[in-house]
Amino acid sequence: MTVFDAYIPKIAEYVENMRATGRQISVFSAPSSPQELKDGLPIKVGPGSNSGIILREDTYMELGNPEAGSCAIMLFTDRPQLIKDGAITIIGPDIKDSGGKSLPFGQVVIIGGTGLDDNEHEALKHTGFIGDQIQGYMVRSYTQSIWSRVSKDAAEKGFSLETLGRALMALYKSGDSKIHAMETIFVTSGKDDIKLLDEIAMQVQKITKELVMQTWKIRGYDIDCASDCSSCSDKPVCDDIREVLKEKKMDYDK
Amino acid sequence: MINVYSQLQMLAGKALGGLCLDPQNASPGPFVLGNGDFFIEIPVAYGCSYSDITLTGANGTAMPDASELIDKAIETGVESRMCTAIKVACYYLEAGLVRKPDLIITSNSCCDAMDTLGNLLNGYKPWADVPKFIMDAPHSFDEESYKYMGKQLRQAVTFMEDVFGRKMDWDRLREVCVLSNKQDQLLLEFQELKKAVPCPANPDLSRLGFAYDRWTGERVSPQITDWLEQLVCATEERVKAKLGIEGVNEKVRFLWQDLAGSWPPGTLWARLQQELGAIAIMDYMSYCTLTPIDLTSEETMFTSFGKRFLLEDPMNRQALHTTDFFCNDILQIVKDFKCDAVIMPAHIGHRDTNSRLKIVRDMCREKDIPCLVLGIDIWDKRYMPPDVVFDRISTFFQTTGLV
Repeated sequence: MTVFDAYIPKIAEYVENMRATGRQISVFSAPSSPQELKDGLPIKVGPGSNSGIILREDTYMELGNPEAGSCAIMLFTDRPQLIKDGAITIIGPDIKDSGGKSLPFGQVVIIGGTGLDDNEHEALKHTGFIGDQIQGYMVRSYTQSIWSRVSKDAAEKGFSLETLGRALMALYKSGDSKIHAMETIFVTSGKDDIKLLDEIAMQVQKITKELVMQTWKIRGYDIDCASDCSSCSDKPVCDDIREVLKEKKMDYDK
Repeated sequence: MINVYSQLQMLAGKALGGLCLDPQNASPGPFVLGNGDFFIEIPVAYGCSYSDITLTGANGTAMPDASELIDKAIETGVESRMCTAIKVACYYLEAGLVRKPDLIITSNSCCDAMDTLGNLLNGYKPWADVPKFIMDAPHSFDEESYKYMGKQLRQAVTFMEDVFGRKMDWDRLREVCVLSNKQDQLLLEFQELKKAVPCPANPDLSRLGFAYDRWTGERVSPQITDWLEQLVCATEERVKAKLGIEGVNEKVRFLWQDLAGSWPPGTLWARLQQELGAIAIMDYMSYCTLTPIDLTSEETMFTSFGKRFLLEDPMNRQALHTTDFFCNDILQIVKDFKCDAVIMPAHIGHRDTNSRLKIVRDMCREKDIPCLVLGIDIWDKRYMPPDVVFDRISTFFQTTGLV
């Protein structure tokens, strides 16, 4: 069991709530192996598939411009049975329905693999740096959430959110052999729906922060300071520093 | 031949000249002085000047008499390993060369030296009667921290209103923020273009554009928008034509993980470009991660300000937060911008960064990214002369097989 297991049902609940409120929802089922995932896609997937740049004039639409709303969540579990492998759920309009307008964008990636443990977080995060690996799709160098562009060329070839889901699954699965199952959810239905997703994202971030601290502790870096000075072994050092500062201040006042 | 880039550089360079001591002292209107980046949209909308004494000090290190200035600064008794830009700022202050401000706004960000400078400003006896507003920047990046910082910036506005007896024009602030959002989008656009191989324009134009946009007398003005639009348009054309920097045969792309400083861009980076085809793709200041200001309500605006201040302001981003965050930025830049190597200048004054050198080196080794640690003073070339630095970098590139 990993720390994110409790959030997988929360995401499912979010999707059901969206369904209950009448949002347009499409579900696709993708194959499992990286090669099968890539087969039949209208665009290339893999390192060097694009130049990394989509110019303004070549842009069909943007996803997740911060002004429109953006949110990204990555969850992983060592119980792949919690995941519907290959499921791609789209809440809201797809790329072809956008008419070239920017859409808000929420991206949830849920990863499962029996060998995955809490320490895998960093590696999985870095696997998610897409860079130049999806033709016609550029993730901007913006670190808070996903803000991306789809090129006119790719849109013309039929690039859709299903394509994106399959491409992401192929990249994650070929980047980490421990991944056995993967599910993606995309939300484009509106800023308010992204905000609701963001509430879950904020809780996930808090857990992620703890995981990061744990990872650094394992590496031998534990910089937590005891909040009570009287029990801290470094108190004499701090006292010395305070003394020096006091003397300096007295010199200055003279 | 004067091309569009030279023209843009000249325009920005001229405006940046205004950051030196004399022009800053001659700033028009109420004179607000601080020890670092205040949220610049606020003074622009309020119609008062804002002078960042850290920048004035940094500009001092680029003056013809820089060495003399730095030596005089050391004589004032500041700690010898303190950042040289701050040393010069301290000297300007202690020597009575800075115009007495009408209001002082300081914060504890982003490094120990700037915090010390803030304390010096607040404790400077001849200015004991100057109203002071001190902000506390938390070393964290979450919604609560952005709100906390945003509230302090909101209180700073009230404080300014009380001191100057004039209200903020909120419509004007909104207008300034709309313009600022547009400019930030252009900065981000230029940044994306730097991903092209070969790099289509001197990447240092990002840094120049940021400084011109945020710090000069023309800050957040329509002239800046024009400047940035020209920069992006010219560079888009070069990307389409698959052209690299004029006169440079690009061979190596590297991340300079620190501030550029006063001498490296004009001397070291220029020489590295010309002689080795090595390009400094990114540095602290040119890494643009600006989120548009959310104009939905006053509260969202100030929370956005708080976020920018804590997370997106150059050097606040790198110095205020965790080593994990710092390392992630390095990895993301290397991957997104196809950098072949990381150079850690290890500026002597940046203790925050220097405490992380081993971690960064280990991480780079693990990820197979060539990494060089220098140990220079980015404001004083006498500490390690440019020729020596060039030789070290050149040897590093040769031994790692990059050139």
